[in-house]
Amino acid sequence: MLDLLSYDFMQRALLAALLVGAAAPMVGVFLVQRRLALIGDGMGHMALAGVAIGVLTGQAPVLTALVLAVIAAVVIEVVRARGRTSADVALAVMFYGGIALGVVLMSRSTSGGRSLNSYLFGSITTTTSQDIVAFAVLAGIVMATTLVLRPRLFAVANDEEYARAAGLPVMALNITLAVLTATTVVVSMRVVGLLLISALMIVPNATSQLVCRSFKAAMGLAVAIGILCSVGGVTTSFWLDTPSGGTIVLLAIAVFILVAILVAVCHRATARRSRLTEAHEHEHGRDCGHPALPHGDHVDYLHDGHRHAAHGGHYHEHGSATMRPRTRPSPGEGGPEDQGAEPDKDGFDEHDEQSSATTATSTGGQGG
Amino acid sequence: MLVNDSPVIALRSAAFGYADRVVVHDVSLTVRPGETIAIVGANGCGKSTLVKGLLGLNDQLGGSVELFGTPLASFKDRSLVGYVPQRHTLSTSVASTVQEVVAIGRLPHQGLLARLRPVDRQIIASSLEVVGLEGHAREEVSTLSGGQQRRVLVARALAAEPRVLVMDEPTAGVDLTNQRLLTDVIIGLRDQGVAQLIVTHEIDALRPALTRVVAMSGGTVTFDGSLAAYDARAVALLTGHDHHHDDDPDPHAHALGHRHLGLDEPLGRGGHRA
Repeated sequence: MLDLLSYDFMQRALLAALLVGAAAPMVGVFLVQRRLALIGDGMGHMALAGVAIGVLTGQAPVLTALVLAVIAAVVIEVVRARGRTSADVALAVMFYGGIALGVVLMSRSTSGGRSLNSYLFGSITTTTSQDIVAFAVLAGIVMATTLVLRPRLFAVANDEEYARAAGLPVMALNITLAVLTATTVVVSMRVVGLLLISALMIVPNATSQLVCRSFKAAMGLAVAIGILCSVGGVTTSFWLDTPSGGTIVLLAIAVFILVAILVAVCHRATARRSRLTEAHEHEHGRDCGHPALPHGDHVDYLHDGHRHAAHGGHYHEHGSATMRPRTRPSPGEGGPEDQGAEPDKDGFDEHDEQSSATTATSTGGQGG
Repeated sequence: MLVNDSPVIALRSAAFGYADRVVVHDVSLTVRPGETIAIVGANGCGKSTLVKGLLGLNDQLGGSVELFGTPLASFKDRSLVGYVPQRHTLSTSVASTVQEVVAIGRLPHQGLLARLRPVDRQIIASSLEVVGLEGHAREEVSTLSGGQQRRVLVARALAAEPRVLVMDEPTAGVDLTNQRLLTDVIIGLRDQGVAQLIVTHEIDALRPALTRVVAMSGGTVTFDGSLAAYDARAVALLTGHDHHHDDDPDPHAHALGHRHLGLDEPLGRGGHRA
């Protein structure tokens, strides 16, 4: 590992990998949330045209790629906001136009095909120190902006209509996210390549979604996985002499599959534990008629001699209750029409019947 | 208390729609603090377009609309008008906890960084308590039942501390227990003086909470009056015809002169209840 760092180009590549590994999933989580997982691909296509223009005109390809990707980002959001049914096709035309223009223009330049490949699939050895400064600045801006705007970007992606009703600048935030995505694409093009960058934005998030329950935790884990895969992939590509982009993405997918298998195994184990309570439709609460027992950071409900702890949509068994409820049972507050507080032997069955009967009534009511 | 009882919403011959297409027209409506109004009518009668117009989600195409005395076009303090949309607007493609979703309601009150201050956390906690989800703050929203998710959306709206609350079919697809819980929440808010506009198909579920009913048909208001008057009208219509379609142009409602009844009624009956 240390002799790896003795190469200047590897120092640059690893630094670039670190930046990209952190920035891409951080921006990508909002794309996943807005169901725009593939939009990064389109921006990559447009950035290729920008790279080609830069190569041909002698401008810095990073700059021209950035300009084109940002223009694409703004156009995408404007076209989407207009909500025409043809928006999808319009974007497709733009994206394919971008990559076709990029390929044609690149063929006119002297370095031609080799250079094209390095932009499409990433090439660690070609990152110059000029590039790395530009990448560091851009990645810094992307990450700082994303972190500052995180609550607002989350709000818009979570429920756009509510965000608009609450007076948030929805259009401006969506365009900002698109520009952040475009910038991330350009920053990543040397490490991951324009055809694969979208994977680094999406796959670490897909992995973290398997295990995290909160948005904040999911975003943090995705960034950690992104850095791991990006730095790990660049290192592996050095030893195996493979293109860095493909290696990074394969590593990210390997992590995804591994985590998916682990999660499946764990679920099978816990499913047995909550099997008893999973089917029960009755929702424990203040007025439910079951005594509440404080248990650490949550409340268990005494139910037919068992302790039920709410966990998502079902209840976990938290052992049989041998101790007396410490708090006054809540049914007293619930009102006289509520069922008695006694967790009698038949309580479980009764409640099941009652709640399914309730469901049936309400469904019938809507149907009629 | 004259100031407190001044209208929170005042519409005169208002029209709403999308771009150039008028969906709702010629609506005059005054809403005061503590009024809890069911907006009823068949699908496509313009109920949703009307409330979405008030929320700034579509275009005002005529008449005058004032929110808290300010014309809609220049109304900036959007957090004063809370919104409980139908559940399916929530994105579930990414995990988020109840706390995180309800915290969105605090955004209009926060600074640039939008980090939660102790006061924000306290308001989020009390909003969750109001809807009976105080033990669920750290759970993932998509794992909750439909009725619980609806209550998360109510809590999010409450976290914004609105003085007007617009709800789009809060009881649709929700079991009876959850309907009762929502009705209790609505009564509690009414008694705090929050004005509520509730688009609904199920007036019976909300009956104890309502102070007024507005019926719409063909893009305009055809009835505006008390629950008792609404019931009487329903009986009259049923006995007058073999059957009744809400879609029909309804001469009875106009003849009854109920369109502006809300202005003359004893106002905010619920609001003054002890």
